[in-house]
Amino acid sequence: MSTFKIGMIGDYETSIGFKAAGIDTYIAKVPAEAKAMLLALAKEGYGIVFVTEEIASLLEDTIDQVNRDTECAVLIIPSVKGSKGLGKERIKKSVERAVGIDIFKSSQ
Amino acid sequence: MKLRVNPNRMELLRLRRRLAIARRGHKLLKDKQDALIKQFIALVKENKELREEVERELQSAYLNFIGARAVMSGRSLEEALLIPGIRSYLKVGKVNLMSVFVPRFDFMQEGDPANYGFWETSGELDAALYSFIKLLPKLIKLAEMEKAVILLADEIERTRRRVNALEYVLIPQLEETISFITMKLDEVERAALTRLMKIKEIVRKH
Repeated sequence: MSTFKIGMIGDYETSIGFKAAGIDTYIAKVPAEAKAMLLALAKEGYGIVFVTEEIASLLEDTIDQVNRDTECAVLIIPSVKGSKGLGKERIKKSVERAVGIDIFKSSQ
Repeated sequence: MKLRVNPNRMELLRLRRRLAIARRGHKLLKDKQDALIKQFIALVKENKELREEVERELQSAYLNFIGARAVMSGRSLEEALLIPGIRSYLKVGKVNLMSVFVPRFDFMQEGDPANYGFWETSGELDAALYSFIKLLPKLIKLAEMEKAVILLADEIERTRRRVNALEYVLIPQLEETISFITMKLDEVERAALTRLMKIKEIVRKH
């Protein structure tokens, strides 16, 4: 077992709490910046990177790629502005991809 | 579509062996797929519940921080949190879940989160900080689960492709080729038989 760091990419307001909890926070203002950050963090020995929904919605492809090809786990979290359900949306997508249909539709 | 092979007995034997192996592989993969889906569904269900819980708690943790900011000046809040007193990191292990290696995160923390002075900071900040830190293990658990869900979904997709390739391409192809060779060999045998009969007839006439 080796040690990995925990990172977070998001806006300033959201990052305060994470920073206080000892997580490396990176503040991204434009999507391209966030994308470069995410790719760099995935390579640099981060075990988990939290990404806020606002940013994640702009780079879903990059997140998929990182989740699939690297050891790093990218977790989408709601920002201070509240949840838009992107995280759940992505679980649904995984289910659809694996099973073919969304089997949890009725329980929503 | 049948395979392009020479219709002889050796090919026939070879193809029969291949068909047997393909059938066995198909059965195994199908079983694997069923087991994977069973695991996957259980995991997704759990994941969904955890995500809802975490999102709710995260929202209230954010609110606590906003509350803390409201009673303190932005500057002193920033100063208090500029150098975090606590370090969070992970130990990452691997768990073999149906031959898919999913990560297992062990969350570690060291240091004292409240390393700022009492002066100029409010009690709300302490409360917000501790509520956030209490939430972190759950966030880590969620990250672990979502990664597992993604990896499992990939594996299921891959397995399904292989099952389908065997079921709808390879096995029918082999079956068709085998029946083609069998028929061809039967035909050759009949041809040989009639030829023999014909030759015998000619020989007898002389």
